[in-house]
Amino acid sequence: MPPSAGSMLNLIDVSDPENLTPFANETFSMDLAGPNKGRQDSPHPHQAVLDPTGQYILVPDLGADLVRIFLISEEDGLSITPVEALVAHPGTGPRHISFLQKDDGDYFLYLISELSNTITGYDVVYTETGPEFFEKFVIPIHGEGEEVPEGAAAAEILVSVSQPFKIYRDSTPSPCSGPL
Amino acid sequence: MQSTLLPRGFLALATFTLQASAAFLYASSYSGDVTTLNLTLAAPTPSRARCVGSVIPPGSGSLVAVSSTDGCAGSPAWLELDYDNAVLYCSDEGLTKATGSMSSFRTTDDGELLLLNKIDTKQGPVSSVLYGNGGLAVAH
Repeated sequence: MPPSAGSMLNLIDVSDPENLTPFANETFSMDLAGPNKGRQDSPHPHQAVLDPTGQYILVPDLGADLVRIFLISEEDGLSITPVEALVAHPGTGPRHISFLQKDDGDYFLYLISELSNTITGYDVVYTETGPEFFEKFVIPIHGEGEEVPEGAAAAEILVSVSQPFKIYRDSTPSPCSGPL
Repeated sequence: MQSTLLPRGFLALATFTLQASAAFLYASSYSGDVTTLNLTLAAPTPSRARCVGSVIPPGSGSLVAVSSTDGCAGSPAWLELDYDNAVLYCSDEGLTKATGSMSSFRTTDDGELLLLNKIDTKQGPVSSVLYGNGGLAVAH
């Protein structure tokens, strides 16, 4: 299938922000359309993010049901080479991802998929050939057992770092408890 | 629409547990503009100053537009902030024309975005990330 307008990762040298210089691009293609014919006729990259180590660029591709992964050259810090992609379930339409560092120092990945309206969680393991992902769960975006409204299209995922809460057990009312 | 938060500093009031804060929020919109908003969070009221060690929510806050630019027209879709170098990159998805574009802006202390460079790209840039040694990767 030929790429549509887009279907690529464009690389720009911005070391001089007054002189933006595109120097390379990776054009994506796929042999067959995905299960969702209307949205998966060609690759549709939706996001470009770095992994937590800064060594890899990840590109969720809604059309190809992949999260494409590229290794950044250590030599020039600009050129990239593709490594093995994370393969998503057919027809789910990966859109955005977000990493989380766990208490034990390892990383977790959340993938939000637009066509299936699901969130998938993966354990991340770094190997010599790139990051590998081990699926741990899939949940609907409105929670387990909840119906997703018709026409919903999951779009964004952010991981917030929440602070621990303190509960005051004093019997006397405290100005520290209760609403403002 | 996407926003990027740029912390601008802290104002200390009374004790170290009471803090107001101010920050710039940059927001891109398909209207064609990128807008700078000033987010101010006021310190909590003094009666809660004795809540040492607890998480104290702000007493109140305000969000005010202070500047806008059409330097990323026609379809600003994604913002990427290089905080250390005071540069904001904006991807124009090109929904109203045959090409997309990439713009770079200098960020300033009063919120104004000064256009540095704007180049045409293929249609459809929707997300970008700074990487490596001076690289910007853009998903189309």
